[in-house]
Amino acid sequence: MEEEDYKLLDQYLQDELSGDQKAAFRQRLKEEEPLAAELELRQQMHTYLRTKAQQPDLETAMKNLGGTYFSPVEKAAKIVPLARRRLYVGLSIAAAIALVLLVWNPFDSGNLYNAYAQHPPLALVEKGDALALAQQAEAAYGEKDYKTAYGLLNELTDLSSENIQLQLALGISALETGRTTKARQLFEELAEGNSALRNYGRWYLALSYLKTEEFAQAKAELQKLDDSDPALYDKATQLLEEL
Amino acid sequence: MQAHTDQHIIEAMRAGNFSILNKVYKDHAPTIRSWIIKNNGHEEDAQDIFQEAIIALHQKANDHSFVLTCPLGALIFRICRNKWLNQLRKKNKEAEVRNWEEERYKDESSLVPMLEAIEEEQIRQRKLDACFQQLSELCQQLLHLLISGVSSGEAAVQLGMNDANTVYRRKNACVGRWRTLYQAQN
Repeated sequence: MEEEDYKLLDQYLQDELSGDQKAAFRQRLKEEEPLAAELELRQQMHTYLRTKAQQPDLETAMKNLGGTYFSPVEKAAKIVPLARRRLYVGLSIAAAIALVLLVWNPFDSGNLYNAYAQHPPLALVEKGDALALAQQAEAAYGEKDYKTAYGLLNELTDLSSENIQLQLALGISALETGRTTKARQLFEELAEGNSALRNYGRWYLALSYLKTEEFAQAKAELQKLDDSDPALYDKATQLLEEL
Repeated sequence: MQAHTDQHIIEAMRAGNFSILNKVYKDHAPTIRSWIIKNNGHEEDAQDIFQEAIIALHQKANDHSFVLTCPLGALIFRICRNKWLNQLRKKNKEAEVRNWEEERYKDESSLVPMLEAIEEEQIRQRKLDACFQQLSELCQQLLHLLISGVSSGEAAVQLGMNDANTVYRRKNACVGRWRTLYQAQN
């Protein structure tokens, strides 16, 4: 292969040859095996480089969707760095909510809020001082004793103010115990943030307006949902139609 | 062979338009999830395997000559099935796969070559990657810049080289080195 051939290969790969030049080059490819082999290798290198360049975007997309369609369960007593743990918890609750939304049946209940307000489970038992408190909060929440749960979750929030799952559960408990203003403030923070639960913050903000029968506001919030979470987006679309 | 109607998904992935994955996950993730859980796996396994399959598809999608000639769902299912069986084989648990003969997707004649193409691409990219990692930092940067559409002139400025000609010569040297390493592997 000549120096000139490499240049030609480059131009061919970058689609810089004219029609005639291209035809002539293709004819040479049929006749010159080393040239064809070199082209094939260059194409493979390009494929690899393009894949690598897009990898970060692909990973982000998969991470977001993974939380919706899969819900990894953490192994008990396994120590995971806090940030990762939060991500898992966030993703698993997102999936749990998606699941709840998927199995929701509109003919179950006459009241629109009750029909849609099926809350995701809570799993926040962590190691350390907050353990007993977290266990109690989880139990109360699981039994739909939102009054007790609200008190306990409030205490927990003081200990770990950055836990987004906690924040959502606290908001739900506040909503269920009539603390609408507090609930909205918590949901609003989630909705305006950048976490895995931002769409759920928005969704619950809408539900809070549904509960107080302020349908115009509920609609406005639902319309702000983005489609990064397809299951939630579908439900929101459905609810919008009913409103 | 004629392209399957799912070819547009491959093209979107090729263009880096990953919002198309919403549809891919929605249509196919539940099937894979339930199959793996039924066959001795956990939720995390299902997620890992599904992600690996998407990565493998994306690798092949970037081969511009690749044309999908079978339904995407059938292909994803077969990729995942093979990956999961491989893992079980490593743990000697293959015998525990109850739904070994999954009837959901009948093998189509076009499925096998697709599957082979994807597996070959994975092996090739793994090798190319191993060699690429051995190139100098400058070579790696240069090749990345050029593939992302930066012109030779701009690349010269960004990498502190004299001019586009230097970039061109340097690039050829890098590709040459990469080729030598790669061919030594095969």
